[in-house]
Amino acid sequence: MEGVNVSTHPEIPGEPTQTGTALLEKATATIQGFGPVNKIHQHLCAFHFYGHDMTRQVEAHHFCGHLNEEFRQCLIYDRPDDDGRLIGLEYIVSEQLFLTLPDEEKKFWHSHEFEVKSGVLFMPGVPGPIQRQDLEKVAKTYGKVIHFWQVDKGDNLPLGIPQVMMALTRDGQLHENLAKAPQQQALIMHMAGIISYDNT
Amino acid sequence: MATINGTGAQAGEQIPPGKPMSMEQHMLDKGAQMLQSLMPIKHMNQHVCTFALYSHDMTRQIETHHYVTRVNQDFLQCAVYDTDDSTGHLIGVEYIVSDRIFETLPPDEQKLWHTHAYEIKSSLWVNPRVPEMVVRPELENLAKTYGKFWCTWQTDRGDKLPMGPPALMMSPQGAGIGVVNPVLVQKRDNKYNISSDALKSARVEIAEPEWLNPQADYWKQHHDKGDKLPMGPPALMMSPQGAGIGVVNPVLVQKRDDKYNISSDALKSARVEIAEPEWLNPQADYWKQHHDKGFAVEVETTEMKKRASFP
Repeated sequence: MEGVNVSTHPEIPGEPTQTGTALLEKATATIQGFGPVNKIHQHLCAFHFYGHDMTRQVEAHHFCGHLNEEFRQCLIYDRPDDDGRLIGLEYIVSEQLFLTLPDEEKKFWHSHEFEVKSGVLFMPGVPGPIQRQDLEKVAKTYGKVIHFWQVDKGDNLPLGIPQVMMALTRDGQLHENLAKAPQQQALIMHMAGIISYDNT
Repeated sequence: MATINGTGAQAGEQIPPGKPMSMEQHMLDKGAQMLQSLMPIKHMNQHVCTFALYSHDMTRQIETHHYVTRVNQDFLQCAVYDTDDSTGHLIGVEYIVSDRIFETLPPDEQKLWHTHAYEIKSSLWVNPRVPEMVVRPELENLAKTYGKFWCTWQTDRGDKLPMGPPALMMSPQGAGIGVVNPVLVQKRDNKYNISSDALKSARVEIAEPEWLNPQADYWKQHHDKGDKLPMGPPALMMSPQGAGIGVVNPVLVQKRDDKYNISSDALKSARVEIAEPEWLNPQADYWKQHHDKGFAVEVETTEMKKRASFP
């Protein structure tokens, strides 16, 4: 059984942006402050898979900023260009911070060591030696990833409920024979009292 | 019992905890920034400040800062933060679609969305620093949209790190549990030196959408219903206090005052002369010392004792 990565770039139904709207937004972009967003300084590329289904894998472009030395918050897009869809987010914490989490909470998080060492996680456009310095730190961190838009399913809009994502933690998980992979604890989310969503 | 709630930050405690950025990290960041294009981020072109409510507990209301990217005339995607400066915590993501797109969604999906008409017309939704005139055409457009907002970090309850599963958020509305606490609005207005009331009058001309899909704002149809019979274990109650989460929503107070034709404010001035107790035992009003933690009664099953012990 092979893993499948068929991320499609969603074609969102809708009219192209009207000129008036575009001009207006040029004005707002110039006048307003973008405080928290200006802290985003880094682009990291990696792969995530769904916590309940390792065969579904998604390319994830992270745009990250530090809140302090031990904490990064990242916006995740399906593509790194100006047409990228915002599909999720990730929080990245140092091991020290991770260890302060209650056990119940730890289940939402994954380690980064393998991803970094295997080269699956990298910083596009940055020379090797410089990347290495930062990635050495990232290797010791833990991440919590939530995706809101199942682009690999071909959804052209962000439908359904959020998905907890996991990252590669050993050889053979990316596009290879998945039969030997350990069972990941599935975290299925459902909206109690409103609807229950079929995640398959 | 372990819960997923945060331990709650003490006043002045850092959210998130962690060492300050090292010089080395600053340099790495700067290096990356110079080499990488960060295109999607540069494509954000609006800052919107508004309010949102937790759908599972509409008394929890937050000021939000949306950094918006328009994808096409019918779709926008927003990164949401809890403040507009560089210390802002990334608390979630909101998607905004036109009414045209919304009508194509299956009913079960529509239940996760909220309307924007009230929020915009009442001026809870503003673009800080932009003259109202400039942004007006955009508001007219957005008044007809629907939003879907997931909150992934509940900093309003003091979570030091993002805990638990995402929470679905709802938009402010004009009545019932959808009304935003005016104290929150005033605080926001003061920060930007604006007046929501004044803006609201100006926005009277913004056309109401002809129809608001009733699947959106799901709580309106399926909430605000009292328990018809006394249900569940008892809930421990607390008394109103003067600060923090102990403050009663002025809307509730006004409603009561109107009923009895009294004015709490006037009475408050008169009661200034009532002596304060010399000491209030800190064990009472437990939540004040323990940062807004309440008590919930839980019920667990246990073995019944079937025999009386021998006297």
